[in-house]
Amino acid sequence: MLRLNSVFGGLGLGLMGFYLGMAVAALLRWAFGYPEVWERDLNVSVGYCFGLIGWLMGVGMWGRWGREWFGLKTYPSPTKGWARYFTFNTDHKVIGIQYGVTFLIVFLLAGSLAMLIRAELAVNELQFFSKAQYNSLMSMHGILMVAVAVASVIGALGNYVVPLMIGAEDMAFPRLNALTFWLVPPTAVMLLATPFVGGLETGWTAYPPLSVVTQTGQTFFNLAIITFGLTSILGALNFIVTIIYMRAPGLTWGRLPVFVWAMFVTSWLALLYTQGFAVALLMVTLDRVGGMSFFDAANGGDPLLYQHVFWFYSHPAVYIMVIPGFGIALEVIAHFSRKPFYAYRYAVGAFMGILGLSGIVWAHHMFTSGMPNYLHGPFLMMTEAISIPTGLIFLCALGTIWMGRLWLTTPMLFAIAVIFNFACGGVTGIFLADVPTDIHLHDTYFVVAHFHYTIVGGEIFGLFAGLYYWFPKMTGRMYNERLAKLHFWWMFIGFNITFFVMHWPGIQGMNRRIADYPEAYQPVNLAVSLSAFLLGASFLVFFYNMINSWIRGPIAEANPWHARTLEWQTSSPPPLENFSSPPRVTGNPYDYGLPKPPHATFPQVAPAPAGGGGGGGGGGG
Amino acid sequence: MGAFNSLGAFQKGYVVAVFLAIVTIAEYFFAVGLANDQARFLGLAAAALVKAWLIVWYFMHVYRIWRAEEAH
Amino acid sequence: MAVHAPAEHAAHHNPLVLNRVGLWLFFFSESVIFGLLLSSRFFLEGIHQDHVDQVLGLVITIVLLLSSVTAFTAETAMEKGNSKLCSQMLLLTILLGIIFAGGVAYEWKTAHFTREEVFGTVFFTMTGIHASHVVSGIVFLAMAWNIARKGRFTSKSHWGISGTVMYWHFVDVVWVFFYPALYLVDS
Repeated sequence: MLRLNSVFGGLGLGLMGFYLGMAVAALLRWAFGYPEVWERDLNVSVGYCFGLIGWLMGVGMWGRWGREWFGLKTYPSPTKGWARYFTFNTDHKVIGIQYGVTFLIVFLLAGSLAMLIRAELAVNELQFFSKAQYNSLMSMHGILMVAVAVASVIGALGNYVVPLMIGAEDMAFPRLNALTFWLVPPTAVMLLATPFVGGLETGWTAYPPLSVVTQTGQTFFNLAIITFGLTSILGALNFIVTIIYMRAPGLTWGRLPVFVWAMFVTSWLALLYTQGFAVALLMVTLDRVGGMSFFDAANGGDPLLYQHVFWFYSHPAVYIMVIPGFGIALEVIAHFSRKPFYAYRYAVGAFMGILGLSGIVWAHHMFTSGMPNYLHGPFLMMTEAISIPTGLIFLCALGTIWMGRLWLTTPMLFAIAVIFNFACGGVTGIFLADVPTDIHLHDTYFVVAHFHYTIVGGEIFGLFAGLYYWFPKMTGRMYNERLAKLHFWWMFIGFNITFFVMHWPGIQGMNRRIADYPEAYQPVNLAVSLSAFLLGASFLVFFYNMINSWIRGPIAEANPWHARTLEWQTSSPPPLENFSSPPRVTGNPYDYGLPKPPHATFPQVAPAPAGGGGGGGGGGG
Repeated sequence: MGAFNSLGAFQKGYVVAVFLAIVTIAEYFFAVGLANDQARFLGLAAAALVKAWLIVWYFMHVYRIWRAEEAH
Repeated sequence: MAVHAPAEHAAHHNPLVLNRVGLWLFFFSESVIFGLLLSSRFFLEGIHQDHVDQVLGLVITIVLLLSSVTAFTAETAMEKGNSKLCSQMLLLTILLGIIFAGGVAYEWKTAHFTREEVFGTVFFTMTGIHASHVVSGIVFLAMAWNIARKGRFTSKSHWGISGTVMYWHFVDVVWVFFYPALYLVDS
C-alpha cells in the first residue's frame, strides 16, 4: 500500500485532487450547458478545494484521523527522527517547530521583498520594476508579513510553550493542531503562485472594485486567505479549550503565566473576528467567479460593505498580532527583573479590555471612505479609549522593571525594546485615530511608519524576545549571546532610523503604495532606503546565529534563566510526554525573591490510591 | 413546567417540536398580515430568538457544557 | 462533578467535555460568518425583498424543523441504548435533509430574480452557504450512520452521533434566522 504520510504523499494526492477538481468543474459546466467549460478562476477554485483535501489526506491526515470517520483503525504519529517534521504529527512540540521554521522562512522572503521595494523607492522614477510589478511586490510583502505577524508567535511559540506552561502533556485536540499547521503550506503555495497568474494589484487589503476586476492572481489570494483564516480559527479554538481544561492541578486563573493569558485573549480575538476577512474575500470571490453584485455599484451593490466586513477582522487582527508580543514582553521582563510581577491583575484586565474594545473600533480605517459622518465621532472615541488598557500594560511593564535587579540578556533587551517601540507606535496612532489629522495623513507613509512601529516594534521584537528566550528549551542548545546582542542593537537602531524618518514624507503627503514619487521626496527616501538595508542586514546575523547554534551550540541546561515557570522545570528539549511526573502547581509564577513556595512541584506518583502522601518532590524554582 | 420535567426524554423533544411548529406558523401569519415594517422586523427577530433558544437548550443541550452529566 | 472524584487530572481531560466545548466554540465562530452575511443583507438591501415562493419557503422550513426532531430522537435513542431506532432516525434525518436541499435547489431554479441583482446576490449567497452546510451535515450524518450500523456506538460512548446531531441542530438554528430575513421581513 502507498504510505501516504509525508509531504510527498501530500503533493501527489494534492496535485491529483487539483486536476480532478478542475475536471469536475469543467464537467459540471458542460452538463449544465454553459458555452465554455473552462473559466479559469472558477475551475481553479474548485480544483483548489479538491487539491486541499488531497494534500491533507496525503500528508498523513488520512491515516491519523480520516480513517476514524469511517470506523477504521488509525495509526500513531512517528515520535523520533527528522522525518517526523515532514508528516502529519500531533506532538505540539513538533508542530511548534514546524510553524517556527516555516514562518521564519516566510519572514526572510517577505523581508527580501521589502528590500526590493526600498531599492525601487531609493531614487525617484522607475528603475527596477514596472508599476504592475511594484504593486505585486508591495502586496506580497504586505500579505506575507501579515501572515507572519498573525501566525508566527501563536503558531510557533504558542504551540510549543503554552502546553508546557500549563503543565499539560499536549494540546486539547492534537490532531486539529496538526491540521492547522498543514493548512499553511497550501496557503503559501497559492500566494507564491500569484506572480505567475497576473500578480496582486490591490495590496493586502484587496479592496473592490479593483479586486473584482483584476487578474486571476486575486482568486489565488482569496483562496489562500480563506484557508489561512480557517487555520487561525481552528488554532484559536484549540488554544481556548486547552487553556480552560488542560491546566495542571492548582494552576488557577490567578496563577496563570501572563503569556498564557495573552494567548487566551488572542485566541478569543482570532475565533471571533477572523471570519470577517474570510467572508469579505468570499464575497469578492463570488463577485469574480459567481457573477454576483455585492460590490457592483451599477447593480445596486456597495463597495463600502467590503471595507466594513474587512476591517471588522483586520482591526482586531492588529491585536491578534500585538497581544502575544505584549505577552512575551511582560513574561520576559518579569523573569529578568527578578521581582514579582507588578499589578498582575491589571495586566490581565488590560488584555480583557483590549478584547472587549477591539471589535468596535474598525471604522477608524474608513474616515475618508465616504461612510456616514455621524460614525466618525463614536469610532474616534472608541479608538482613543483603547489606549487606556494599552497604557495599563505599559505601566505593568514599567512597574515590574522599577527597582528590579535587571539581567540584561538578549530576550530582556528585545522585551524592553517592545515597550519603547510600541510607545512610539501608540503616540503616532493618536494622530490616525483623530479624524481631523487622519484626513490629512490617511494613505501616506505616516501610516506605514505607524503600523511598522506597532507591528514590527511591538510584535516582531516580541517574537525575537521569545525566540531567544525559549531557544534553549526548543532546541536543547544555547545561542551565541554576543551575536544575539549584536543582532539586537543592529536591528533596534536600523529599525528606529528607518521608520522614524519615514514619518516625515508621510506628513509631507507622500502617498503609500505608489511606485514613483515627486523629486522633492528623494533625499529623505534615500535615507529611509539606506537605513532599511541596514535593518535588513541585521537578520543575517540572526539567521546565522540560529542555524549555527542549533547545530553546534553548547548543550543547554534545563533552566538556563533560573525561571520559575513550568516549562523550565523539565529537560531541554522536553520528553514526549513533557513532564516525567505530572506537575502540581503550588504558588505564583513570578514570586522572585520572596519566601514563597515554588511555582510547581512534582509529587512522585503514589503507589496506593488513597492518602498516599508522596510529599512534594524536587524541582521547584 | 413541573409536568414538563416529569416527561420522558423523547416526549420532551416532541413537546418542544410542537412549540417550534406553533411559533413558526404564527411567525408566518404575523409577517404576512402585518403592515408596519418596524413591528414586523422586531416581531420576527423575537420569534427567531425564541426558536433559536428552544433548539439550543432542548435539542443541543447547551447546559451540558457547565453541567457535567456524564457521570450517569 | 462531585459524583466521581478520581484524580483531578481525569475530570479535566475527559475527552467528551473537550470535544463538546470545542464544537460549541466552532458553532460560535461559525455564527459570526452567518451573522456577517445577515448583516450584509440588511446593509445592502435594508428590508427590501423580491418575490419569493412563500409556500415553498414555509414547507422547507418545516421539513428542516422536522429533521431536527428526528435527529434529536436519534441521539436520545442512542443515549438509551436503542441503536436500531437511532439508525432509522438518522436515515430519516438524512432523507428530510435531502428534501430540504432539493427544495432550495428548486427555489433557485424557479427564482424570479437573477444573481446580478443585489437581492439575488444576497439570497443565493445566504441560501447557498446555508445549503452547503446542510449538504456537509448530510455527509456527516451518513458517516455517523455508517459507524452506527457497524455497532461501534454505545449508550455511554457515542460522541460521533452527538457531535453530528449538534451540527445538524446548528444548521437548523441558522435557518431560523435566515428564513425570516429572506422570506418574511418585507411583505
